[in-house]
Amino acid sequence: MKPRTFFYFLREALRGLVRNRVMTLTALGIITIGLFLFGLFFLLTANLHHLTVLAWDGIEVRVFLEPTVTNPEKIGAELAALPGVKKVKYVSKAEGAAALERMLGNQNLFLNGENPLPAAFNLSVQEAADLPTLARQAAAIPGVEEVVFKQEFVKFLEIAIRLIMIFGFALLSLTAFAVLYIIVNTIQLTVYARRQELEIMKLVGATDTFVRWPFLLEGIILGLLGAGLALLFLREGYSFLVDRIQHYRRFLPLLSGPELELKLTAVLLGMGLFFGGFGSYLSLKRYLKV
Amino acid sequence: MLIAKKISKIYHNGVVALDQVSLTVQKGEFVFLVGPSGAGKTTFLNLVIRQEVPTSGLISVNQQNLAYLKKKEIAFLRRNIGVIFQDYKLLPRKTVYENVAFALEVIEAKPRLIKPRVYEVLELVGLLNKANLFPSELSGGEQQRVCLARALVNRPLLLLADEPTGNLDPDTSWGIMELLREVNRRGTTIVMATHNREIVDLMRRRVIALDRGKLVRDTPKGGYTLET
Repeated sequence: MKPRTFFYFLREALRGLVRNRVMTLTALGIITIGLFLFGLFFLLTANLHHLTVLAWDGIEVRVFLEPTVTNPEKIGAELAALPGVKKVKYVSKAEGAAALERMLGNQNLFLNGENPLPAAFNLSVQEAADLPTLARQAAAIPGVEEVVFKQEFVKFLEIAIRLIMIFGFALLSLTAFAVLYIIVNTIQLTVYARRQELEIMKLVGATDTFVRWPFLLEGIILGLLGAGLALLFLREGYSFLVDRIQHYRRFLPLLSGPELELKLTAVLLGMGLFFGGFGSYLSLKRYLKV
Repeated sequence: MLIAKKISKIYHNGVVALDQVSLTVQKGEFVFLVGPSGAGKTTFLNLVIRQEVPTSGLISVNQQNLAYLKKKEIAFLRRNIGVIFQDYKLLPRKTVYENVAFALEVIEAKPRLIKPRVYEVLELVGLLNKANLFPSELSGGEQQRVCLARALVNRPLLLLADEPTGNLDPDTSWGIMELLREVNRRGTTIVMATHNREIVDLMRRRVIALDRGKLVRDTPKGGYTLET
């Protein structure tokens, strides 16, 4: 496409948006609301997932060593090499006793001052690691006496993660379809309002490509503007919510930061661009048969 | 220029709009297409600009068979045919200048050509001083002249007019007819569908009469009816 032609399309698109400002503002409002809702569900799903990941981070597998073990470093290295292990922390007999005493608040816990606690490793595991297999593999290492983890809690967490993934995917897909449907219909209205223009373009000899481009650009501009507005409202609303929650409910750590903002921006702008362009394309098909 | 051989058009609901119509229009002719409402005049014009396709028969414009045109070729065909409508079909949000220029812009004419060509046709139709007005600020006759200017700006070989005086008073209608006569004098072939008996009778050009889809009369320098 010649640059001159592209700039003509762009000029026509902008002119179309300005001259049909009532339809433009209506469409923009609807697209903004649709994308705002999608962004809201996106944040909700991301936070639910984040909370389960945090819960998973709290899970520890304790690997107790036989009293005869003299080379815990070697066992530690073998444990660290197991699949799903994130971090390995050695807890000596003395450290174990100190921790227990701290927990129970009793300075003279053991008879005759003899410490019966075994040395151990605390393993932090990666999200969704296969804990029963990991426990079996750890127990098979020579020098390991017993492996302990909260099996019931892990099972609950696994189910919770799976449900959140399914629920999140379904929710986001449904919202995306609803938003696409709304955007296509809204753009269809703007195209319908200008069907005479389309008819005249075709009758004076414009090719389909020539008729389509300004409308596609209009759709894309509307989609991007809608996404920009939705992002603005979401950013302001969400940071207000995070501030409030962190003020009153410190134990509820919500996701925030540039990574989340970048993701949300990319998703919403991508959706605005695609839905706006695709919406226009679908809406125009019927009117190009003249 | 325009050849139709035994063309018929039957719509999905069974209505026969054209029935075995054959005719030839030579380059430079001025032809009136007359007949009562529903005779098939508009259908015939729609077939010529390939807005519809015949159910059977052959139609060609400038030696181009319209039955086998690809989408892009249809666009190029229409660049050689100007059309004026009874209801003008002007874009309400564009000025007179923009409405006319639009026909050149959409065929990607060079920008340096657009301005002089638009002013040239606006001068021809006498609307140079109203170039910046919107259609709603013009009278019916002026709107029809803008429509004519838009149809002429591509310098078409063939001009189709579908009841161009249908919404106009007699004086304004004559103004439009004078313009069409001038355009025809400059070499453009004109096929005009009309109900206007007075105009047909006074102009004395070739008259093709349709009735219920059939060609019932083809008279050189004829009148609206056989008797006139």
